[in-house]
Amino acid sequence: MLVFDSVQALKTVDGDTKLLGNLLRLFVEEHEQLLSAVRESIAANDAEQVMFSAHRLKGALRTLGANRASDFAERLELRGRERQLDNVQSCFDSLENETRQFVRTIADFSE
Amino acid sequence: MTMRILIVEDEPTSLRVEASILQKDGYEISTATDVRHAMTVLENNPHVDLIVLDIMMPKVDGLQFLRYLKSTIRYSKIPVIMCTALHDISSVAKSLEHGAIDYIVKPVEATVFKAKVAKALERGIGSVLIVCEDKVEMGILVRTIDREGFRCISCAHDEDVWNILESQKIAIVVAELLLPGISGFELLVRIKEKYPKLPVVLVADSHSERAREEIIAAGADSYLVKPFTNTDITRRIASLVK
Repeated sequence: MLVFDSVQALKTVDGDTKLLGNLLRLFVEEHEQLLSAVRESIAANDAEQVMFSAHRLKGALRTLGANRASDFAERLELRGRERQLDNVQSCFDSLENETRQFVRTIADFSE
Repeated sequence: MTMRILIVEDEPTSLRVEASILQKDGYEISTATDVRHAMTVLENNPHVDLIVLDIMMPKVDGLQFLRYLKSTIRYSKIPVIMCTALHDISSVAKSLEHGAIDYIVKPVEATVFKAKVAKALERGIGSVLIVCEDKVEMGILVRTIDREGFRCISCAHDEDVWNILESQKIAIVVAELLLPGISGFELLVRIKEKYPKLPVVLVADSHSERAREEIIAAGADSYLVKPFTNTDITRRIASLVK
C-alpha cells in the first residue's frame, strides 16, 4: 500500500492538479489539529469522540490518497464505534507516524 | 436556470473536493458542515434541486436528517444522495429505505460522482410553471404551491412560457384562462400539441359548464374555478405530477 496514492487522489479531483495541490497544502496546515483531536479524545477516554475525530481524519486522508494512514484512522474509528479503547495508543502512534510520513511525501506535490 | 445543490459534509477536505467538482460542472453550490447549518441554508432558500448528504456526522447524523427531510412536505421532494464510507454500507440500505435516491462511497471518484449527480437531477420532479398576469394572484399561487415543496417559476406572457419550457424541466403548468395576448385556452392547445404529456391545469374566474367541457376536451388535465382553497390546487398538482 502506498504512502501517497497520487493516481487515486487525482481520480478523486477529476485530474485537477491545481485543486489537489491546494487540498494537500491545506492538509499540511490542518493535520496537526486533526491529529490533536484524536489524541485528546483518546486521553479523555471518550469513545464517541474517538470515533468522530478518527472518522474526520480518515475522510481527509482517504480523499487525498493517504491509504496507509487512513487505514489506521479507520481502525481507531472502529475501536471508538465499538467502545473498545484498550491499547489504542499503539494504533494512534502508527496513525501519527503514517500521517507525518504522508505530509513529508506530499510536500513536493503541494509546492 | 442553474441547478442548485446543497452539500452537507462535516469533513472539510471531502467538502472542498465535492464542491469544486460540481462547481466546475456549472452547478450553484451551497455547503453546510452540520445539520443545523444545513437547516439554516434551507430555511433561507428552500429551492434546492439536490442534497448530497454525508451519513456520519456528529450530533445529528445524515440518516436522521434524511428522515426529517422526507417527512417535511416542503423538503420531501428534494432528491438526496447519501455519502458514506465503505465500511458503513449497512447505513446505505437504511438511507434508501428512507427515501434517498442514490449513494456514493467516499472517497468520491469525480466521474462517478458527476454522473450520479446528473442522474439524480434528471430524476427530480421539475418545477411548477405558473402563468398568470395578476401579480397579487401570482404571488398567492406561488406561495401556496411553494409551501408544498414544489419549486415555482412564474411568468405572464406566452412567449416566456415557450422559453421556459424549452430551457427547464417543468413538471406541470398552471395557467389562468385570461391572459394578455393569448387566452389560456389557446395556450393549452399549443402546449398539448408540443408537449402532449405535460400536465396543464387551467384556472378560470367563473364557472361555465361549456367552457369546462371545451377545456377538458382540448386536453387540460384539470380545471379549477375561483375561489378555490389552497388544498384544492395543491392536491390537484400533487396528483398530476406523481
